[in-house]
Amino acid sequence: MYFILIVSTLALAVSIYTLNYLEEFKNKSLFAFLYTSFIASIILVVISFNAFTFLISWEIMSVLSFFLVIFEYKNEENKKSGFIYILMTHLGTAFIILSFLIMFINTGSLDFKDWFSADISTTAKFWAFIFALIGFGTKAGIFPLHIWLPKAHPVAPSNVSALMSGVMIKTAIYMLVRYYFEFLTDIPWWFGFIVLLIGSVSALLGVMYALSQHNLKRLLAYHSIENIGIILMGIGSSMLFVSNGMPVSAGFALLAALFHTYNHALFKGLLFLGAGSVLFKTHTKDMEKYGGLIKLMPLTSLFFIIGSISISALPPFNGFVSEWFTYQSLLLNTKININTVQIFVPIFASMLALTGAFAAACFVKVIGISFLGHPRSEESRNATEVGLFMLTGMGILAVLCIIFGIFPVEVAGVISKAIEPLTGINIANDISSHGGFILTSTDYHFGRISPLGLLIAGIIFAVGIFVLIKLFGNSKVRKYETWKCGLDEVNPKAQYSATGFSQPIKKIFAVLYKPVEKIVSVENKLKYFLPEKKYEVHLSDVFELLITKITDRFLSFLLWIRNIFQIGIIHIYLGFISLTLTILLIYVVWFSGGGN
Amino acid sequence: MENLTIGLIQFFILVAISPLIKGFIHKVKCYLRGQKCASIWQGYRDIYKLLKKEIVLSSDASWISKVAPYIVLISTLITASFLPVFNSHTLLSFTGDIIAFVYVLALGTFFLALYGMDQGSAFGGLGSSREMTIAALAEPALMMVIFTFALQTGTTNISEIFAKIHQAGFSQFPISSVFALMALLIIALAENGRMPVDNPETHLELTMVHEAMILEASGRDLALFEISSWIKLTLFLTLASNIFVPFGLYNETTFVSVILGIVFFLIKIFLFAIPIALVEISMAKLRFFRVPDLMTFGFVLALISLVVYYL
Repeated sequence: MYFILIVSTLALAVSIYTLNYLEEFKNKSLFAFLYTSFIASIILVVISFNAFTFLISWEIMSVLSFFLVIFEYKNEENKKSGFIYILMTHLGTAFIILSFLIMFINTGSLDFKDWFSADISTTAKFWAFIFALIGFGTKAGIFPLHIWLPKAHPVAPSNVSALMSGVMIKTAIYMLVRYYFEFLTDIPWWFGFIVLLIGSVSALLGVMYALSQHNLKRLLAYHSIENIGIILMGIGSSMLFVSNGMPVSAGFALLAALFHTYNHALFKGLLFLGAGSVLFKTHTKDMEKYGGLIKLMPLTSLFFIIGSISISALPPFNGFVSEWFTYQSLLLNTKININTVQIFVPIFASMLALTGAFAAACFVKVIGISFLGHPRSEESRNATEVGLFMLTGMGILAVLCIIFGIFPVEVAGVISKAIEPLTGINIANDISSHGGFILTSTDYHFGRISPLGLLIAGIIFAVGIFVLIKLFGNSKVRKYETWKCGLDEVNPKAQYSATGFSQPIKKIFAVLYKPVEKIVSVENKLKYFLPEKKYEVHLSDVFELLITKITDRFLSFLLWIRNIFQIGIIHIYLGFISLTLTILLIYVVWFSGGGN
Repeated sequence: MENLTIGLIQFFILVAISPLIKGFIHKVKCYLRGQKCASIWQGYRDIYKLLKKEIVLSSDASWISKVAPYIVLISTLITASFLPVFNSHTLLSFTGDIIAFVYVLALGTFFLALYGMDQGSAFGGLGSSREMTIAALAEPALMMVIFTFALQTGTTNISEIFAKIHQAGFSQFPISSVFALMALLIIALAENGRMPVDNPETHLELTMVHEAMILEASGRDLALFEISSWIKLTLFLTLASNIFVPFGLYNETTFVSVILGIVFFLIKIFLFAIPIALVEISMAKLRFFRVPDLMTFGFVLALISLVVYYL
């Protein structure tokens, strides 16, 4: 039910946005059909009650989203990305089917109801756990199965990217939660630990690859990986509590995960819509060509900045609250008396801190390069504010981001109802005090925040400073041009670039990016007199290279086998046929009792 | 009512002494170098002078440039009102814990970096890029130190951490605390843009991080930025001195003991300011790409501190 709420909220905002965005496409009716069926299929996935209907609606959802990804099919890149997407999705579905089969063999039913607390052996549980993690993980985009995500999201129309990132990948989270909390009970502690580990690695690597991107939508796609990682950290830490018999803390950690799921849907939807608006007006995804949009598209910029602050987990917006929950549940994790957990959980927390800080760095870059400064190209110089419906769609999400950040207790109450069946305890009363003004950890003395209090304090301070300055200060303002160290030339290219902004981090973590740098002389220019040179840097995703390499090896292995058999001489083919027949005859006669 | 008064006093102490601490560090440096130096009260004069001057705003600036100085100062002030000086009753201890402390400060850094990029000047971008990198690298070590203290005291609320440490005294986890102190020193140097990481005294491209971002600021905007960076330094010194020297008149409410508590706090914080001056005159600035090594060192120290706590 809770997931349907998420789907509906985002779908409403995105649909309003779409009313204007449709102008982009030629074939409007086809898009409308695919789009509405896509939303319906997501809902179908969430409400399906047995494995069979689940798989069917899962496939419908995958195929429809594939069509939406390649909607602008005339572009060669789109088709290629779509192909990788459909390939990876089906790989994932194969693992999901494997996992379902294990459950089916062990329980003898396809109904999800019969799988509750399934009484199966630990080995079977282990395989069901691993296959589910790989299968749903592919859809959710955990490392290193994420490679489709940064390819498919940027080429899809922006409203579809918002839905895919906001809710489609959450269906995988939904099923993981059902799997690990309803179907597989009595799990050993290291199941949770594995999920926690994968979550923190995904979060950190996701944000680090995001930082190196200057394609706006690809950057956001990598941030989806980061946020899925944070959600998985909450789930993992909750599983640790469950296997150690601490239901209250388990509920708290799961609350962290589900709260972040909702928040991610809100701010990622908002950011993709914002990116879509910019794209709609400038027709380029390259951040190096943006600039100065805050004056040309003031409202879009404002909404985008709200989304950025939320995703960077800064108060008083919603990202901060769910990340605070995650920190608190990690801290509670150290009460579990297992040394590995006690030592590693603080390390995971530091990884989460690093993730948050990198996310902030990344969005300073996005805002700074795209919206501030001068326009860097003709397209962005001519950008204008987008239409009313697009603004309304983004506005709804932005307002929700603020409300969720300031009144988290009410939201947490709704979520705790959703998790009550999973952990058996309603923790709504444990996490709030003073009539919902203060949000606490499950233990009041352990830690507490009050986002509303922070906001009020901030407003009081703002008024105080303002009054003091009015009384004592000089409020004259003189407009003058930016100091450029004596240069008089106004050249937008002299501004800091997106590549330059993330260069320190690229250099520090060069292992991950494998940068290839070169300086190319521009053709038809003299080499020494007024030379004109270009600096090119190519970054790659190490994991993508790795997966490409592995599949490459695998393919050449298959080809090598084929090479042995497919020689091209007809005698040898005939020989193979008779050999096969002989072997089959021998098998039938000797092993199956004479063929009857 | 009494608690509110105490909270207000603590908040005003933190804000009021911050220019003094800046002047004090400068004075110590001058003394050790054998130079003649500006008065220790120079910080107050600078702020007054800047407030009286008009702002020169870049014509490329957007509303970010107008709100950023306020948001930076507000975020610093909010964190200042979390932090107990001599009593656990702070103004806002109920609204935020130590995790919120870190994130509210990060909100200030976020807007500071945005301010740097708003005027379309290459210097600002350079400063923002470096500042965000350094801040990001300092974060894991800071969170590790925070976790260590949260585990030692069983809470993330700053007031309660301080209260419990003052009750138990220094001897409870001595080795762990020493390592945590070393880690916190490194973090404080990085977060406040002090010497081996950034040089607060120059305006050269090579050394600029914090100064590059606020290069365009002038008048009262500059005053707001300056005072927030001084308060931030004071916050880190208070955090360190109250956690690592947990003696003194803490949590007593009679008039005399409050006055004595304030005096004792001032002695502590000036003692903790001296090492910063010492580091600054005895070290050259690190090359920017050596900073990650320093940060990793800080993280390892924090990790050792955590492991020692479990032993």
